[in-house]
Amino acid sequence: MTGALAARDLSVRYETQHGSVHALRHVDIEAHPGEVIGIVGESGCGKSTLVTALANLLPANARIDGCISWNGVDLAKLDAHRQRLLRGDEIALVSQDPMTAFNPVLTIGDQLVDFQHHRKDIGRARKRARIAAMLGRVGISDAERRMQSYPHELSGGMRQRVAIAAALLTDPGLLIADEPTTALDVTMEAQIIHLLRELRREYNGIIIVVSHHLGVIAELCDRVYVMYAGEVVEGGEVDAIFHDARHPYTQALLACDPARFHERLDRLPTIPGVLPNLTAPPCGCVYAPRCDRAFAPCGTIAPPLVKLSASHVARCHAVTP
Amino acid sequence: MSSVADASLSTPDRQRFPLLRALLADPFTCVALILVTGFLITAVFAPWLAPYSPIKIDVLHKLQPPSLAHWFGTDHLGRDLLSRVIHGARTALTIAMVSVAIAGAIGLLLGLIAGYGPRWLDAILVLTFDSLNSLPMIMFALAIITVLGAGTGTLIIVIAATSFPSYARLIRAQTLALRNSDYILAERLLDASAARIIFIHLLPNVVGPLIILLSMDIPVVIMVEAGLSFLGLGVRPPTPSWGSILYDGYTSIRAAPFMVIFGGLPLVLATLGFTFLGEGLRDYLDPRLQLRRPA
Amino acid sequence: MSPLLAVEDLSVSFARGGLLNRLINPFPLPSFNVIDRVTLSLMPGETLGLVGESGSGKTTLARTILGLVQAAAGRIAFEGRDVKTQADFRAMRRRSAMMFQDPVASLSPRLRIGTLLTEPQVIQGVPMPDRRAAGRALLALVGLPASFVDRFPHELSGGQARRVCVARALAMKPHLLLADEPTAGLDVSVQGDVLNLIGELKRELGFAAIIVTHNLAMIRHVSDRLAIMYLGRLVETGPTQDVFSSPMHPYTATLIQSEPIPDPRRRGQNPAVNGEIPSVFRRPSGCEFHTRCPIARDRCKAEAPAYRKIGADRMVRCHFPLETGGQEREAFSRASTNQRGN
Repeated sequence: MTGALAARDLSVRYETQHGSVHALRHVDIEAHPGEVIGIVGESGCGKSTLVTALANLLPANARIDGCISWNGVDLAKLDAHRQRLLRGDEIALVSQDPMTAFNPVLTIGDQLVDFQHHRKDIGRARKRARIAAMLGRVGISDAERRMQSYPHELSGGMRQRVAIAAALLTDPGLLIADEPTTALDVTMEAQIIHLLRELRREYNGIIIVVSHHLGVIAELCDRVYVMYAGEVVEGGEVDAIFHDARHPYTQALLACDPARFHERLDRLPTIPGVLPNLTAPPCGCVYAPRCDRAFAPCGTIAPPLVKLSASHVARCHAVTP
Repeated sequence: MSSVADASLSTPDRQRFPLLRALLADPFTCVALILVTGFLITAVFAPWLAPYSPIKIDVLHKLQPPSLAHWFGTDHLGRDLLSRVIHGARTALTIAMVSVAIAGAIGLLLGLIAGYGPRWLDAILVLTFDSLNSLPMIMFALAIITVLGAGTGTLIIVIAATSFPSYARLIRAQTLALRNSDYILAERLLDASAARIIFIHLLPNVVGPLIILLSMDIPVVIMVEAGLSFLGLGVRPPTPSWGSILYDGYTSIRAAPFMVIFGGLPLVLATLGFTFLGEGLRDYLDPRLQLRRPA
Repeated sequence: MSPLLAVEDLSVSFARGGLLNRLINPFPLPSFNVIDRVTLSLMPGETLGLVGESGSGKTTLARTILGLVQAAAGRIAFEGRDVKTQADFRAMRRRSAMMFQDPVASLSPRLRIGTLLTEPQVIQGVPMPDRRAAGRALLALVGLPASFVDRFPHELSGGQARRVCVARALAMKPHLLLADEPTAGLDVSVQGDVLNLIGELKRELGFAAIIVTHNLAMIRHVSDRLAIMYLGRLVETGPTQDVFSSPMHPYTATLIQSEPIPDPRRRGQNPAVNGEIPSVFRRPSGCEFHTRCPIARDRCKAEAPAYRKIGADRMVRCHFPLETGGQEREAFSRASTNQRGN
């Protein structure tokens, strides 16, 4: 079955003065309506490039290969106008810092009315009513008063709620939340996680959550893709990833999280080594230089995507189904 | 000595003349450097480069158009224009560079003290800057000239005294923005002296915009010098300056338009040269603006 | 053993309005305590975790201890001597070090790493025949290649800049290290690296440390004792293991419960606490946590609880502290579940 959203053999490289940076290589992902997809990885793993590619917002120096299909349409081949329409209607993005997502000199209400500019069929009063209802849905109790506020008058958690409300106003088929809780305190983080979890009950589009925080991914997602140095190294059901991780990188990443250990550790586990240089990615496995299970083929032959179960895949020579 | 770098982490090679290399890498800065160097050489070697004496009057050949004998033509007193332009470069650059340098140094020092020093000192200094800024330059020049007499030295004093307050205010604003930054706090925690913080940590970080401003102000000062000279408050008449050439040119613009062109051209070129040089220097001085290696 | 650092009733207040305003305004705006009567002590060699959300005043407290922020009241004693004058603070700073939250921003941007690393020695007049060699030695100490001496701070990654800051902080062998969010912005595979490095050097050099953080998962592995702050006040202190296994203040309990667990089989059902941290300018009456506390009663709204000692080594600011396995704890979990249900 083909999902509503699928990336097939997607590669993105940035042309810079210092050569091409292969930020994303041969990525295959798919997502079905009603699913919450997690994309997890550390800085430099390409998760931002992936979601920017999905949202069609890559900078001008990016070159795309492969295809991104959205309900059967290849996004990369659309003309600019139709891309823009799609972006406004179907794809919504919630960024890490909601402060920068809002214009500081307009009230929240005015901006949210603006976000619905493509809805010519409904009047301003009706739009404001929709906003009030949506703000109520994201847990803002005094919606009418909040619509009069300016972005700086809201706390970080409140702004993130408003950003989520703004994203849902257009009733998008794809909601991308890029590090939605990273800028928040832990008590607010728990509340936003709770909010996203509540929302998905009534929302039947796709939610993609991008995070470096394993806890956030575990709390929210149905399926998870683990990324490293521009590749998806493992993908599967959240339970399989957290309890039956097969790729050595996923295992190492999970082992590093201090939240997994309740007894005090004298030495925290780490992953020795550094990320490979993405201007000249290694010809073998990208993780081989840091992998403690690397053997002969890892350095020279790029590992295939091994299918471990219906939905569990890993890109590694050492795993067998 | 170059240090050993491991393969994945390339260290920029330590090269000779890094400043010159960086400046020449940018075409605009390269042109600017050629222009500025050209003007400096002209200024220094003016007596050897000029074909005639710049002050020798030859009324019989006044307002001659450019010819092989007089490449730039002659002015309303028959003086060779090329020689006057060449000698004018010397006057203009000396006055502009010396007064801007003095003003820049005073502004930098006072701005740093006002920005980093105690608040009461800041209040006094800012009051001083504003008072000086509010003096009309011509009146001030007249007052100083009454006391000291007209001449190059007086002109430099007048220009420096009226322009340093704006430099000081710029530096003070920059310093205020940085005084509570993490790295200044870190230095205070290391028990660094105020002088060390000011000269090692603040100065290099605030001086960039000042250098651009100074470089761009040099042509302005050349204009000011020209204006004051025209009013008789600057360089005394026979001494050639670009300003006096221009003003002489205006009086006979219909008969000899080439005077304004040849008097104005060096001014335009100097403006471009110093402005582009300022921008090139700014790019070099701020390592964060240099293109970074892709991560 | 006498404490290395003792802080008693330390308060910091931010006056509102400028000097002129305060002199001539007939209705002066009241000043607010952003740090309110904090009492702490730190034994030599001990690691204290100072935990709180943004706006809790933990960074301000750390800066006040080293004299970067002026205290309005209270007493600081370092190595048994009172620290009052600027000269006292200077003497104290010579034997202590601070790491800032943003490592790149805390390094002077126009200087090369080698110069920055050896600056503490130059300032304190330690003779150094070869400054570049000294810089390389310090880089080796924190596991960075010697070629870094010629780099600028902005050319380093977050983890590398952290290491440079560690080297710089420890170059003078301080007795006290204050680290403000030492893992902020670091990847999980790198944060362990930095903490292990600090831990190793700590065993080697024997300094005491205060680690300011909001990262509970990390602090439980590196601190001996915890101090939890809320709105500029300490609400709970105690040994790290005890605080995690049986938090007494409801705020501590909610912090621990709020932490997302990296295990999809143990998903928290609902957030442990609703509402947001209030502003210090509008401090709630009574116990300042009562607006968000799941077990708040009438008394909490009216009367501010005292900061009192419970057991041998724990302090808590709560009228109804949660005892291990006791009634209050049950009431807490019941109450927080009910509250979440609505």
